Amino acid sequence: MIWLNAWALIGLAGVALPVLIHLLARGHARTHRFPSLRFIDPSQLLPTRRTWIQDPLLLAVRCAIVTLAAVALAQPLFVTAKRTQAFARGMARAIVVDTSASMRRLTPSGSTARDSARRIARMLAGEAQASIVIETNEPAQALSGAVAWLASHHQRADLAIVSDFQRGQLDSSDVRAIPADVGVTTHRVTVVSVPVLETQWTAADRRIAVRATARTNSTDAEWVATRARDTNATLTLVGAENDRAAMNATRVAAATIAVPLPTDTTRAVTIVFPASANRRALEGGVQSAHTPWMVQLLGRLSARGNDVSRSGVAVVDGRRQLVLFTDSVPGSLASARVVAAAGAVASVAPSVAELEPETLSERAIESLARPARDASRQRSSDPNGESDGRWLWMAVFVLLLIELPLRRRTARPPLAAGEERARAA
Amino acid sequence: MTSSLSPTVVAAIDDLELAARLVVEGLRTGGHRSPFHGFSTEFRQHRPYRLGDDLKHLDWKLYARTDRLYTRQFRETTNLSVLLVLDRSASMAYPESGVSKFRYAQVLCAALAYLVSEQGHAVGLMTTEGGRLTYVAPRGGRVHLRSLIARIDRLDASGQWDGPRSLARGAQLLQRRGVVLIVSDFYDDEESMRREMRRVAQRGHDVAMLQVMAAEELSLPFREHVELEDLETGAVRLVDPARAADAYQIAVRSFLDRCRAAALRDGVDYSLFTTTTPPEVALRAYLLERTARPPLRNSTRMVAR
Repeated sequence: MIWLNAWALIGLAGVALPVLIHLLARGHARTHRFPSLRFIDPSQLLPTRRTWIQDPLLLAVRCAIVTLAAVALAQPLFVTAKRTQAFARGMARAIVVDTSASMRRLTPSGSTARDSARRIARMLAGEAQASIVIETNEPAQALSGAVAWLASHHQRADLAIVSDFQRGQLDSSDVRAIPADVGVTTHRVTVVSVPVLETQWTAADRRIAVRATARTNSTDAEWVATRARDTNATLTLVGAENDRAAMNATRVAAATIAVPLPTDTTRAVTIVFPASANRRALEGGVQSAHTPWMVQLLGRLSARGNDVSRSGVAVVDGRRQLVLFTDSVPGSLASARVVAAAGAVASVAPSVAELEPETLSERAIESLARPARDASRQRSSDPNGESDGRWLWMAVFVLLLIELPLRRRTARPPLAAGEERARAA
Repeated sequence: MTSSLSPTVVAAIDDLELAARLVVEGLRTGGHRSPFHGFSTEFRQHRPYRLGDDLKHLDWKLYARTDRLYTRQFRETTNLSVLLVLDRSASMAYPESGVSKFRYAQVLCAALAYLVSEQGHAVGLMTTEGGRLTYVAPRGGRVHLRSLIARIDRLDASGQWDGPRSLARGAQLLQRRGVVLIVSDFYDDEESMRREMRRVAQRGHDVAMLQVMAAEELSLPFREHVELEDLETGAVRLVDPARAADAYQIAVRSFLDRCRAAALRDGVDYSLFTTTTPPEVALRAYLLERTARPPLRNSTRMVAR
């Protein structure tokens, strides 16, 4: 049994009222005209407080009325199996499962976070009448598709996100974009935080395997990525036409700062120099970066004091990529550092950010969840919205009907024998 | 065999004369003789004793002085005066629902007046109206009877009643010895009333206490705490009936016993009427008792009729 308004149970304290009133109140004295008071002993005139229960039945009925009324106000709901099934039957649920690299870490039970997330997804899917499970490396990108699927089902909509909630993967702006009539629930997969001691990666042909050795055990992670032919395929420098030589020098200089690694074609970065003719147009069209690798790159650049005035996601040369607007002049050491940092992040090497990710706090995760705002839609699909308090109110009404004759019986003085005979006559 | 009239039925009859007639008709069912005997104190003459004269009429004192037998002769009373003294104090208005003591007393007085008048006696009334004594001289006749009953019917119970004064004045206004019937609950000053009754009885009147009590006042018929207001004085007291009921009943019983004992001691008839007893039943019991008792010691002579 659950209580929809548990605070009303405070009203149970009111049960003491009839008892206290009965015992503490002085007797209710009704006025009667009497022929003479000469035979009444003055020592027994004043009524005293009652020290005993005069009418236990009446008192019990009154206490029961107060008790039932308080319980009815608390709106009890008896959760039966039938009611639970009926509640779940009216719900469509889209489940977004994070399968990014950080979900390859182990949970306390020994399984990977990804397997745990899949188990949770199966359980959530079993509770709903209609469900879909979406596995993605970028949960934020999958939300729109999930919402579209929910919109096609005219039922109570619930969007469940199962992830370790790595920072940068999902934020409040992504949730705000979800329609208000869709409820959002978050399910965090707890992982064991193990510091990485060593990483090894091997690239064979166009497939890359990475092994990260942790303190207590080893975690095998595999990035499914397409190996680019060279760094230039994913790193684009945009500047003035007469700076082309300087930009080539910058790229060479960057290679001396960091060892050039094979790059992931899915991680495209464009660096825009000050003298670029398209700079103003690009700045006007960028959106905020939100994928983990982008957040990681921006964090690294910011930490090292690299000269990047603005950043964001924009479509350049038909591809959606991270755009960095630097104020460094091409050919300078500062510009070489920016290029080196971008190249490192765009590489297919296992990033520390994936193996030891920063995750959102519990409070931040809870703030992402929300109920569906359209209550009428929820009520229409939930036939069990009313509490069982109505039955208690009926019981209160019946007890009130019983209390009335009991009260009259107590209040009425007994008829004198003669009057009874007279009435009989 | 006729069934008794319920007090509520009798009290519900607006016409008091009709109620009195019904009561008296019920009273006559037994066909007993009149309980009111005339007696005379008026000595008429002596005459020499003749054989066959009743020895109780011999004047033994004269015989002692003259050594001759003389029989005393009295004037025979042909008309008896009966005075009804009615208490109309506020305490008689109890109970306020049902048959009140005063209504019961009205029916009793009317029935007695009817009965007395039917037997050829004179009947009068002494009561109070507006704080002043009201006296209706005893007379016979149907016209007087109707007037008297109408007057009784107009009365109501209110205020206080000076019983001793009413009794003394009534006995004083009676021109000759008669019967004084006091209908009251006798809640007034017990000692004064008793003294006055004794005085009236010693003056040769045949005095009777007809005490009317309501069944409800013989006990405290309440369960919860009540605030009781004295009908006469207006005093108010809070009473816990559960604690006071026993003492109250003992006190009431003691009061009734005192009234009965004092009446017996002073040569006064006594009868208790409760409002739940049918009037003709209670009246018949009283009259039978009165008929059966020996002549009162203050009655000098009873004259056979």
